[in-house]
Amino acid sequence: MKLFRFLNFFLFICFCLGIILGNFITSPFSFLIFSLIVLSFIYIFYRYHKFFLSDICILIFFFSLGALWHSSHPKLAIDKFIKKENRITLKVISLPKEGTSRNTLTAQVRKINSYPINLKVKVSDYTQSMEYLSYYQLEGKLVKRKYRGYSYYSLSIKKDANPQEVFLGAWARFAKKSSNYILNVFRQNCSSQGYRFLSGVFLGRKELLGQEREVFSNAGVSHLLAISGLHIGLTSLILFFLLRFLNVRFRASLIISLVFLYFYTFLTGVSFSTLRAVTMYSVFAFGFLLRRKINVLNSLALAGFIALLLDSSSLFAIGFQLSFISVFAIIVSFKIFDVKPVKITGLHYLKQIFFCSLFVTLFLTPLVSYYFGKIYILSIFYNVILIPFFTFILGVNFLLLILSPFRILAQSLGEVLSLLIFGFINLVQFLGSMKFSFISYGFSFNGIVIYYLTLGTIFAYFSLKNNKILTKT
Amino acid sequence: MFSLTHQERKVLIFIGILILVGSILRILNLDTIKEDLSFDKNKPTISEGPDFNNPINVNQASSKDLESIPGIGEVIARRVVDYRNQFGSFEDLEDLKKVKGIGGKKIEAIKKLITF
Repeated sequence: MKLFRFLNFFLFICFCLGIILGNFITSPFSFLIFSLIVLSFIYIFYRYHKFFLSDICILIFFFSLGALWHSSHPKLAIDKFIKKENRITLKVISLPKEGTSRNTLTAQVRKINSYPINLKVKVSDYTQSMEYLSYYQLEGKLVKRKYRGYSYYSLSIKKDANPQEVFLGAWARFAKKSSNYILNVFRQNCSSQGYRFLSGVFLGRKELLGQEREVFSNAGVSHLLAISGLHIGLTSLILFFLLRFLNVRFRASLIISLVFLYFYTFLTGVSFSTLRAVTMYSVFAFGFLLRRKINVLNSLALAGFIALLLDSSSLFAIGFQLSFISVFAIIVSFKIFDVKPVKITGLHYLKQIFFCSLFVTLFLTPLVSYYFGKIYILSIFYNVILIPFFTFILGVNFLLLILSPFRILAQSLGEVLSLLIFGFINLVQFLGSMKFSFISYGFSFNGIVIYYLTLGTIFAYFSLKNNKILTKT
Repeated sequence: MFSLTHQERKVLIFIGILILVGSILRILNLDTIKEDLSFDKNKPTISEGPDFNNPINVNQASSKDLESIPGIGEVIARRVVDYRNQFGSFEDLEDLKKVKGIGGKKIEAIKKLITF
């Protein structure tokens, strides 16, 4: 039995479609009644051994559950709290940007009055007292704002608001201390540019990156700044091999690396790409520990289910769409075109990066163009150069963290790292400034539909062709 | 269809039912929020949002009341009150236009929310 085979990818797609429907029709009661009716049909068909019809009903059941889950989302009740003074409990999730009269930061609202609500807000802190990763309780007024068609929530904390710090649990205190320690290591040993870059790419503190974000965006390699599968894979591998080097048993190394990974995810803030990567890694690790075969597509679906159950509105977030579609593109394309990861050394490694980059670009181009109005042409080749360079920087970064208690070693490593980062950013800038690095063009919604239908047909054709060859042989 | 075993099919349905129960709890929670907000009159409310049934009288409203009208911030509300104190009550919408920061577009947006 393949592990998690029951969480079929099609069910995930149905759940997503249901969420889209639930976004337009916010009537939870009608979806609830519909779900109960479908559930009774599943039972009837199952009882009379009509398994095909029962499975179809399971698909419809998950579709209606998606609609029900989204239409009962607590976010829909947030508007009731808007423009009113409420008692808010929040967690600061970005490093406060200091201004003359106020600090600006991003926070995660955990509770409004006594209701648990998960909401990201932009905060203007006039008390200038709030600290990164701390929890506060305060009286405040949430306001919904719009910028370039996107809506977001903001919270202004007056000078006399006196936010009260909430006592942290042992786990959160440890995370805060660790995060501050790592930031201090970067600050003390690296250049200013190095500190900002490493805080962004290792701890997910992208708010420190200013001009660099634009440089990476122009070259079409912004994904390097997001903590994703690359970071998660590298982090776990480095720790895993370190433990193996210290003669720790294989299974124990795997479990320890998994626990560390959960901690690292918590430290960096659980973004969509991190959540996806960690879930998939966990499925692989558990599959290995339980000696079960893994269906990669279903592990991706499981990650998607978890993300959507935590917050169904994330389906409409650009980060979620880009992260999941890119991994879907890699899995499906590698399977259809039979690209096998033979070795992870030398030319094979570069070949794999090239194919990954090619398929991801193929799948993401219309979406990126729709959201950002740009089509990146050369980024496929840029990735082949930049990803190995970036991996090397991350490796040296780990070494710096491990050797940080030894001052002299850490300082010299910091110097090397700063130089590498300087070279890396300049290389990205050079590549981004090249002619035809990107074309300014925005896909229309209909254009996207036509593009994906065509792509789907081509892939279906190749898939059928491969199946025929396999049956003949 | 998915080549599922009986056990897997049961697990799937079990997960589905869990989500269903979770949704019911969320719906109940949503209702509690709505009820609490509609009955909690003691909560200090700064702004209630647009209310077409109870238009605000610009000749009697305080600065805070005026701020509850969409498009009227702290500064314009203060200007309205200052103008009223200086020149007396507003007669009509044209009169209100004399306040700095209130133009034709703003009048058009708020005319259903105010009275004289």
